[in-house]
Amino acid sequence: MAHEQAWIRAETGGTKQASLITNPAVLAALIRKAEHPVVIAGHLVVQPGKVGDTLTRFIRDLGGLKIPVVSTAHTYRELKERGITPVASMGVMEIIQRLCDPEWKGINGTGPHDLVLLTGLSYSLCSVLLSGLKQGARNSKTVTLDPKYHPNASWSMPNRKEDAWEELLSAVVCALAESGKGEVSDV
Amino acid sequence: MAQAAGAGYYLSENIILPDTRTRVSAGNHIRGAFMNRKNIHLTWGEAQTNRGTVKNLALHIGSARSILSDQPVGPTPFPDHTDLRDWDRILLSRYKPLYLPFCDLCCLCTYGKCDLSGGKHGACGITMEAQQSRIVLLATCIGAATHTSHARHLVSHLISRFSHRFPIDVGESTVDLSAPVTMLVCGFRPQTLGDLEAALEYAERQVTDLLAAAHTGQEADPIDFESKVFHAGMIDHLALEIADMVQISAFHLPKADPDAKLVPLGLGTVDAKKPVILVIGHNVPPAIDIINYTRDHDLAGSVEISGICCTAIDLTRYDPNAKIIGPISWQLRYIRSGVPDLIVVDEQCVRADLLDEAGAISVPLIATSGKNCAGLVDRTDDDASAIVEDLVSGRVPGVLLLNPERVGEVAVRTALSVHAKRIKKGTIPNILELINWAALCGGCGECMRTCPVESPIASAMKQAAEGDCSTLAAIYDICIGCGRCEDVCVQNIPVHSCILAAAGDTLLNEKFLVRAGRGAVQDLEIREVGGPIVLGEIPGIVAFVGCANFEKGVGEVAEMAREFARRRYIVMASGCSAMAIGMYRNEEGLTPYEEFEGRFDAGCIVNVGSCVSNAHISGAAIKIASIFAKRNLLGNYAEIADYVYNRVGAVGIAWGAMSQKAASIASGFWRLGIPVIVGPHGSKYRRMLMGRKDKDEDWYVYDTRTGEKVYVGPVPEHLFITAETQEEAIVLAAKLCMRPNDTPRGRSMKLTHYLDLHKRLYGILPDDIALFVRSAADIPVTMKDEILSLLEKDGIPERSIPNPTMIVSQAGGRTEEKNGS
Ligand code: SF4
Ligand code: SF4
Ligand code: SF4
Repeated sequence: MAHEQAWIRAETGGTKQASLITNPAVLAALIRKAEHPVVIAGHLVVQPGKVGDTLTRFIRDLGGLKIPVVSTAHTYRELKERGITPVASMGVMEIIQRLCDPEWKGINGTGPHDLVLLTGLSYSLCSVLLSGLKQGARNSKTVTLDPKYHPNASWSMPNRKEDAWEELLSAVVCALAESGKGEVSDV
Repeated sequence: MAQAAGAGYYLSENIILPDTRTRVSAGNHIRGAFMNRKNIHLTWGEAQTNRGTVKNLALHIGSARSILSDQPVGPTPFPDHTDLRDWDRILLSRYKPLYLPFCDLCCLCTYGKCDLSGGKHGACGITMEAQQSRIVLLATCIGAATHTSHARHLVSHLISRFSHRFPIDVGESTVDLSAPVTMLVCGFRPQTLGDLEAALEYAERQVTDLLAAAHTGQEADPIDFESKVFHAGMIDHLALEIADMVQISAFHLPKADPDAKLVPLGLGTVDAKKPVILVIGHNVPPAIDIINYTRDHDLAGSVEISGICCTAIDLTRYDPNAKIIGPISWQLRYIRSGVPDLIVVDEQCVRADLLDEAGAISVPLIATSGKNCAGLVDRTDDDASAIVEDLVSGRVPGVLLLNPERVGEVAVRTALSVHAKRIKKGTIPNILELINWAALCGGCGECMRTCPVESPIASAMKQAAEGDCSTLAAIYDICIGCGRCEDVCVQNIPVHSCILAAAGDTLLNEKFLVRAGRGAVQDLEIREVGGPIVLGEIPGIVAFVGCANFEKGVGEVAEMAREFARRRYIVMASGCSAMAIGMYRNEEGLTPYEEFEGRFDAGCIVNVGSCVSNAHISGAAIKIASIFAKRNLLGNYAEIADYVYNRVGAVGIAWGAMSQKAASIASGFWRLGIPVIVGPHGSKYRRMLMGRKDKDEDWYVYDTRTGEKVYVGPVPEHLFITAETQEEAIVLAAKLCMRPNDTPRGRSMKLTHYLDLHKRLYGILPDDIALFVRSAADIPVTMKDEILSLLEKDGIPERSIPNPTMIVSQAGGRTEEKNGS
């Protein structure tokens, strides 16, 4: 059960609210268990400042897991300059549209994505995109990595100050590194 | 009189031409007669009368109208939604809805609330998909109803002032094809104000029918809802055209004038020492009567008439000395500056709390529209002096006046008296007060949790408390002036006013120029650029339309417009977006309207005018089909839309679209096959209409020369889509200008822009080049080697360029398969 409210308070979501990620092992387990995860990196990932830097570092740290990264809008070049090579550059609406197609074989053609990690989008836009996925991509779990709670996701980070959030993401990376440990039963 | 053509007759009771007593004897060579529900429409190619020969006379119950051209009336004059359903389904089979619900629920009736998530049905049986399309239909019906009501008000008002027979004239000798949307939709060409009543009655009936379809237990199918959305959009453009045609004609607004005057924009252009009247809204007659009163009483120049939103735009079309303050997001900041001495509101996009805001700066408010009475007492029939006295003394906070002439008198007299006794004082704190307010801020962040542009208010307040107001000042540029931050502040800090205070004199120093709305596009302009557009040699028409709900301020719109104008696209603009373009200066200090000319031509920026002037943008596309391609317009919607869709590389960017009207304006473009891009907040319209470039089977057209189906690639790829950033919008717009009909030279030019922009803004070439290269001749010369190496793997295709159509009946009759439905 979530004990959090939408960051933009009016974006209250629906009958089912995102589960909270407060334990890093939860996100680590979600990522590890996913067969076809994908990261969608919006333009705020490359925005100067702590949030952008933290997200960049986190996505780069996932590199070893070979999770494909899709850059949206004009994010590709800067992501590459930050050491992340997206598998594709797509409009965020376009990737959401594909994810809502049950026939779509995924960005690598290897199968539908069962886990979608969204990040770096403005709050309102991210909120409606998550809602679209919630209704249209029922076989995918969605996770938001930004430090703002999104009720429309399946799993969301809580509303956190930047430092606490950074710590949480670092702990997720550690938990992933200790592969096999930190399994959580409720995932 | 040998011909009825050209005269324009209003016949309410019989078929006798009233100014000649000419009796038309029907039956001679009747070219077409058709019925549309309760209306009977007849068209005579030629009829003998006792006064001579009447040619091309169209009649329908209650009125008669002449048609100048020799065009026969097409298959769908005055269409019901179902008459164009097949065309809609052709488009919707390519551009499928992507749904983005606000929440899981439907709350529209007392069966509910119903949870529609996860494939569940409502108690009425509706699905989430249908419910979202139903919401879009409701939005577009509200939009279409608003413009239809606006047009009805204008037509009735102007008929009562000038008579039914007052001629429609939107461009004097430069515009023969004066009402392209009305001709296309209704199948006749209106000549007089009275002629428009039939079109308005039709629009009113259609909006009612469409709204009825949204009732619980009516339409069930999402695609049928979407088709009705398109119909609402088409009706909306009809209403837009009527509204602007009549105000251009009767008020002598610029008539298709590419050299319309440059008019002042920004608070800095207002002389605050004079009495200042602020008008807000969209329906201009009361504001025009304010100007008229000043002229008639030798007060012109001694009272400043300033405006916000489309009333301001239309007012400067009437009088270039009027001042535009800015788009809708400037309402609070201008009022709080304390500069206005009187606020006059009409209709649409007027803030609902203006009476309170007016009270806070001790000025009265006059409401002038039955659609926005603001809770005020209707004093229309009272003695003007008594009303002025009540307003000036503060006995009443405002009045409702439903007669524009009365508004003119009361407004000017009130503003003069208020100004004489009022010390202009706003509600924006001074810098010391600001720092004191900021010191109260506890950093709770509640304001940020309601701010649509996610501004960093809490940290900015912290800095301000320490004397550094720079971050707070920077918020000014992105703030949309919604005021929500103030309502939630736990310390009751006037947050928005503090932002204005931090920005110092920024507001007072806003001085720009915008070209007054020119209205229609001339026939000659269409003749000159029609060919280059259809052949693709002018890379496209990019139209900036809609409201000011921008995520990063007004600057982005100006930058986008300049980018396309420099690349020699035809840039068009209207409404708040036209103002946003003007609020910018280049390195040389020029606004875009000084930097670029106002012709409908490559490399120009064409401000057509207010929201209702958007009809000139769709109208220009329609006129290309008529003037350049000589297609028949009258009642021939699907064929013309098919032409525009396949040949006219136009795209709309509604970067800050907020309202229901913006939704209906967009849907009017969709039905013509013109794609629309919205900014991030536009995603909240709840559904997109997007193509799938990865599905080859979706991108076939018929070649009318052979009747064969031909693959043309995903052009245009989407019909309605949100772009996340300005950069994405620019690249998308360039891409969405491609059409199947592009010549190799045209395609190569369009590809040059698309690839160049993609490379510059994204850092790479796009991965879909192969879909747009039909043969080696399409490859831009400047990038030939790079592209050839990219296409090497699959080889260079050798696809022919068809004469494209999506409509099977246009395809030369050799095709049996029915397309799309
Ligand atoms: S008024 Fe400006 S700062 Fe305040 S919530 Fe609205 S957009 Fe944000
Ligand atoms: S809501 Fe008020 S007190 Fe809280 S951070 Fe915003 S300005 Fe400060
Ligand atoms: S959603 Fe729109 S109409 Fe409703 S309160 Fe907000 S601004 Fe007003």
